[in-house]
Amino acid sequence: MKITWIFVLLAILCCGFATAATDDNEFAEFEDEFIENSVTDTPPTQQEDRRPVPPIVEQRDDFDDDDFGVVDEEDHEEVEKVKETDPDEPTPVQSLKFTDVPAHFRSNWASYQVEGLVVLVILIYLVNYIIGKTTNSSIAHVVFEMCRPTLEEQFSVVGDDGITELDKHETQLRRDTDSTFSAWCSGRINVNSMFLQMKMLKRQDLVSRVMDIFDPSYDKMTIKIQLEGGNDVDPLIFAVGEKKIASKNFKEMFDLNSYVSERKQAAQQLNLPATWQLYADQNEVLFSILEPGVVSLLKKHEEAIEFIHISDQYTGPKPAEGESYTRLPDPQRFMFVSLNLKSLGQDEESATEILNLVFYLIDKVKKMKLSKDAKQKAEKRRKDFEEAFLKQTHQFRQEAAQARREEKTRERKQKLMDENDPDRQKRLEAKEIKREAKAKQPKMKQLKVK
Amino acid sequence: MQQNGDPRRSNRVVRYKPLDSNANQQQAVSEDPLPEYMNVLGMIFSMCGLMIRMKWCSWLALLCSCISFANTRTSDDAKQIVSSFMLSVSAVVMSYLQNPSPIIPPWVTLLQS
Repeated sequence: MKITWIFVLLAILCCGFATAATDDNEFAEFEDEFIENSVTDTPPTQQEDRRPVPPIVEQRDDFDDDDFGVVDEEDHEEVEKVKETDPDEPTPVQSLKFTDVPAHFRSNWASYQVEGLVVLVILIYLVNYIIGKTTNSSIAHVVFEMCRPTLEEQFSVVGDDGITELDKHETQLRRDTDSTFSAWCSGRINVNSMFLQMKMLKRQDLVSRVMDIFDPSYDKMTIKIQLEGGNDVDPLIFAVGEKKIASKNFKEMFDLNSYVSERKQAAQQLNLPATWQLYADQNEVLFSILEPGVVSLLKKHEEAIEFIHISDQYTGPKPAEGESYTRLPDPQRFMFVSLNLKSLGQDEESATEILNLVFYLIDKVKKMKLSKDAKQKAEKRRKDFEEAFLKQTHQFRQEAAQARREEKTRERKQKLMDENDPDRQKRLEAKEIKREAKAKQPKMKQLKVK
Repeated sequence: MQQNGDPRRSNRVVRYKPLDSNANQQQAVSEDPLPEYMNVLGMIFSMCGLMIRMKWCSWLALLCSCISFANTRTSDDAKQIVSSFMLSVSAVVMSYLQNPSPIIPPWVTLLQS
């Protein structure tokens, strides 16, 4: 009995495996078709080997076929065609077509040429960044060390960072960017503060270096000094420097553009370098500042000094085209000196001389006394300019005031509309009508006739 | 040009104002806007690399990030630079993970024609 049960179980298992095998091979009929089709696609060498394929087709087991004895006409025709072809006749050679399948990148590094190039450019950029950064830093520190003794003689605080306490303060050059360095100095007579800034070439940036080949520039140092004001200081606006830079500043700076004019004759008289331009609001200012000693020093350091600008009406650059000030900005007393580091950074002596000239000019401007006429003339010119400015901007200010009034009225009306309480709304409405009636009334004094 | 006496006055010291105020920051940007431009360009290229799978865009984004980094100011936020680098690197990685085929160099098509 047991044995029969075992046989039954074995039979069931066998049937199960058999059905599983047929289930796995669901695409068997398609595979057969595929084999037949691929026979025609294979190259001649393989085709010759596969010539005896038709017999295989003939040997197909009818049991495997799902058409249960129904002969497919197409298959039959194909078989006949194969039979018709003469086995000795050479078949035409068909070239192989390969589809573009991307190979894995580890297998073909050589084809990554563009990527390699970009990585190389990035590496060169980074190497240049490190070299350029250290070069800029070393140049800036060398120049600062040249100026440091003079600066420490003149200021009680040199290189302030604004954070550390003054007792613990150490003189140091600040790094603003990898190509810009600055030092803040303060604590001197006639000066509120002095901001010394070194603008180096962007040596750390390869793109800027390439651009620099087409448009060469050089390292610069700018000194921005806020002068002490007061009633005892005479008005003056004065600028001297290389033609290109001076004319550029003349066009851009609001105070230079508004008050000064070029003094060619005086420049010749003072024997200034031919490549320089001179601007001032009055001739007297020129002659009191440009003493023979100052002129000789300017001529000596002609290449290092680019531009000097002293003004009691400094308000920054001119507003852009289409824009204008609605109110005249508060003027400040400033002095700007632009230096060329290429010439300045050569020896300590010239750096000291130029800095001493700057401090001499600071004290000179404070002490300078204009004649009574010149002072009156300067003050009158400033007053006239202010009046002209007010006249010019009168319309703008009127428009702005009108806009403000309209905005206020609109806000009041909005408030009235939003009011939920009807009594309050009525009160507000009455108030508004009264206000409008008052605004419509002619602005004249009413005289009572007795 | 020699002066008499000590010109130093410790009671007249005006402290330095750091560049973190908005006005100063704007001034710094108007003086040299290159890092800002490069940051924006890098972001645009990264987006193109990530969205449209343009490999050369991803590489350009990486270059833009490098230029932005080289021109950055000390007062600037370091997070911005880090995020710019992360975005461009992720654009490169993602575009090559999606399709590891190399960029076809322009000289290949030139040589073929």
